[in-house]
Amino acid sequence: MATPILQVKDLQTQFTTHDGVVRAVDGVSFDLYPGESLGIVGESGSGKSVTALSLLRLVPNPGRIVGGQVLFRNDDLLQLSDEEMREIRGRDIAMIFQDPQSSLNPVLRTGFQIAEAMLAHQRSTRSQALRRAVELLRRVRIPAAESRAKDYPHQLSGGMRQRAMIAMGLANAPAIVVADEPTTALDVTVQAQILELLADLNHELGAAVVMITHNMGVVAGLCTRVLVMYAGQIVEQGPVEQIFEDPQHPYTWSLLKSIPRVDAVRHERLRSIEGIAPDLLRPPRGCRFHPRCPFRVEKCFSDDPHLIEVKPDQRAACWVTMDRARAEMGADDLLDIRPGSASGVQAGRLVE
Amino acid sequence: MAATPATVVAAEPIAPAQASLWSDAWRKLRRNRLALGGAVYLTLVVVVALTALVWTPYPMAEVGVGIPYSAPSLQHWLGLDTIGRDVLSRLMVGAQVSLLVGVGTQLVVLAIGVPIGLAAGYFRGVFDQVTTFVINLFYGVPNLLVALILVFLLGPSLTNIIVAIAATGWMDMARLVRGQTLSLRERDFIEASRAAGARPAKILFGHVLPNALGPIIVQATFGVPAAILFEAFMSFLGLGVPPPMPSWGSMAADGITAIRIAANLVIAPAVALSLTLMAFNFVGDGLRDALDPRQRR
Amino acid sequence: MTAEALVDVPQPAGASAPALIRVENLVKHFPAGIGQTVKAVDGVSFDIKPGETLGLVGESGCGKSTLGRLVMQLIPVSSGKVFLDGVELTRLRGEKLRQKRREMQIIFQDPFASLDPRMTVGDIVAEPLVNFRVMRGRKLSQRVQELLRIVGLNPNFNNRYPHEFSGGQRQRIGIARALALNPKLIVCDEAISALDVSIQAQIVNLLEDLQREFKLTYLFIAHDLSVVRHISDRVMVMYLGKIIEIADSVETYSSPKHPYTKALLSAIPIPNPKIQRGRRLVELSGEIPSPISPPSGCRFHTRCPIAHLPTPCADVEPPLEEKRDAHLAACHFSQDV
Repeated sequence: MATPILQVKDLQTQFTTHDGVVRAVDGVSFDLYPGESLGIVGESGSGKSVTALSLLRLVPNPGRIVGGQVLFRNDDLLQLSDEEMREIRGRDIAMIFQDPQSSLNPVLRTGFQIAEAMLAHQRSTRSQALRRAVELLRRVRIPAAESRAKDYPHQLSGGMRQRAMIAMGLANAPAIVVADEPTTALDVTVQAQILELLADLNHELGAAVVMITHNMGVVAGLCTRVLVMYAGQIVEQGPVEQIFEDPQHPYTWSLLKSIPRVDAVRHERLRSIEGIAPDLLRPPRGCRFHPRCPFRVEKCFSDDPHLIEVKPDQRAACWVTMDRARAEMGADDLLDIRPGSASGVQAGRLVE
Repeated sequence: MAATPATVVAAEPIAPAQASLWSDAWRKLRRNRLALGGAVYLTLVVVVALTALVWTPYPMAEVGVGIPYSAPSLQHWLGLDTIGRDVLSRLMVGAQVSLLVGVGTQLVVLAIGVPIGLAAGYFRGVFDQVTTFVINLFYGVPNLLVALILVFLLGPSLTNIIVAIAATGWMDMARLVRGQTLSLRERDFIEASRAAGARPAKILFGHVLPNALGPIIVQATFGVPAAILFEAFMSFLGLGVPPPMPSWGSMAADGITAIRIAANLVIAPAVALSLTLMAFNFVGDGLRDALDPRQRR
Repeated sequence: MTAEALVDVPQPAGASAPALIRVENLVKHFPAGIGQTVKAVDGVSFDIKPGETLGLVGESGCGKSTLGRLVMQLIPVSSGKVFLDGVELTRLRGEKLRQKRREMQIIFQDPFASLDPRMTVGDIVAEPLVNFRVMRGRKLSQRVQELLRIVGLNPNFNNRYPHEFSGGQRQRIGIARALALNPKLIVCDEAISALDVSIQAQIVNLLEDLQREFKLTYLFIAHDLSVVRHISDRVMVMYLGKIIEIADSVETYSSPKHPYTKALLSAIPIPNPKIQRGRRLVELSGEIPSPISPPSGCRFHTRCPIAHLPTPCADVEPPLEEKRDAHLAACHFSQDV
């Protein structure tokens, strides 16, 4: 395989709050390859957004990156000066946020803002930059791009604004685009259009895309590889087809079973995940998913599982894995989703 | 409970008990040195004012307990005034006046402004239009002028001063409460309460008022020093509490004629007044920060 | 424990049963600036049968939440009628309407906004019972604990405040409050949209269990068609203040009769890469027009991939009519969808 364009090694990001230290990202490592589309999926509090912000060193207060490396073209981004990091941001790595409304300056014309993003990193004249801004708006399929470039952000609809944000992200032909829930605030028909656009840009421009989302369907449509995060850690990673077809971590498996599908022809009861996400101020000992896991064994209460290769290219952090759960615990026919219900291991239930 | 096998009690782990809004506010207030200092000073003022009800070093109205214009001494810590009365004793009684005016005014303001603001904000309609019109009308007129005219017409007395200040003071409170109510009435939990069959009175006093209490307390706290200053100013003009009752304002007014020979006659009430105003403002600032939901944590 | 993985399809009530809710030609116009009105709901009629779940989907601004509040009579109608069990709610005022609130309740989208932060969970759940003076004292606190248990919460949490709970737990508190008066109808207004995926499933399952146990009728409003299809017997699709399709939830997917429904379905990503990659998006041109001045004729004609322009689609409004058994759609060319 090609050499990775971005290597994240043991990333640790913490938030120091009045009540204690929250380890929002706790030892996350992954590689990003040129031109690929990597999904990072998880629920709220899983650390997926903080991971994305950490890559660009945009973690808001009181968060701090306390450990690890983010290697980009032989540089550790975490060691760069603020000035050097500013150069990287926008030029080499672009970020698209969930809420384009708050990322665009309301008193500046849209085209001007895109041109400014270019002028910050490139030598060119203002009129050249403005012309190129219109081109970019056309590229993200904004109709009547010339006149739209003269509009202020509030004159654009939500979908248009997100397109303008993407255009701004593309202004300097970045090598990596990090998109943090870019479609969550949009209606489904608009979401579908934006996802298609991102997929096309990924293919046409060859920029690597990191897609942060809670929506498994979005990952299925856009990504080639996926990381599943839970409670600040990666619990499973691998090629998208494989993860969806044959998830090995009980969390991934349960998550996929808990989503109602629009193409379902029969009414099946959803298999929810019992309980709530752990409090990261006091994460559970052992595997962080064990308080909600039907397949847990004794070891899960005490020992922290590490990501290990469970299939070719597929890694999961689980002492049991779904292959064993299926073979020994009848996972496929399981209806009772209470913790420990399949394995019968109730000991130490809900200990602090 | 429906006995489907997959139905479970899902909620055992609960978030660790966090501080409630009020205890959280109290925690933040305690960390605020200025507010805490202000609160300690105000407690002292209250104690002094209460003490003055039963005991002062000298009778506050007795003329000639010593030589007029005497400088501070061991017998008279703050000296004697133009007709030989003990300044410390008068200052202590003056604290009563200031506190009465300050707190009394705000009680009247709350009693009038809060219900009007609630009703205007919740029911809207003609009542709201009329109140808003009246408030806007008076916004163009200086409050001091209104108060001066009222005291002129009613005659100077403690009650009349309170009435005169509250006559315009309620408007700011009503405006604040109206605004709070307007935004709260659109909140889901108010609609939920309506859907649950709550009558308007229950919604207003059970849901809207408790949630607007923070800003109301802050506004009232800032209103106290404003009223005290008002009273001092009017007393300085000779429209305050009638003699021989001392007020910090009238004490300063009496002393001003002698400022070159006995500056303490002005300085003592002025310092007492300034410290009290500052203390109330510090406490108000502290409360505002502590009760601001945007600054949780 | 293993058991049959499938649960029965909830039985739709017999077609002959009289409607629990009947809505006739409902209109709600909000004033918007001088001389303009937002036509949020613009001539809507439908029934909800006792015991059924009627789903209501549409994108933001289509008027679905307004419609929910109109059914509940939380906001007054501009015109049209709402009947609950044959009683015309739209004619009731004041105390009479308040009494009717016992029979219908609502669950809101945002579990952080729909619970009074200054009240304990126990007081929140008890409020409807107190408002109607149903019970008091020990009986009241017993009932509150019972309700908390029913929705899967620890009954001893009744002295806690809402902010101590997670989103899913708060939504359970809202559900307990809605159940307190044993209502007939519960309007779920985006009741699970703000929740995490795994928690959504918990709440959907809870709502299904409660429906079976307490014979509840739901009007389930959401923008997520996959969830709506999952929980509903029938699905109603709204676009710009109009209902454009009502059908059995299986048929909605298998044979939509309105191009908008079809586009909506195609836009929802399916969490299966093999299927999702092979799907074709029905691309809609343009954006949702303003509800202040909706398009003439069929309101969807400006974005419709199969519209015949200018006539009839741009000048004749298609009626909502039966295209097949109990399958209604408002489209001139539903056979081409």
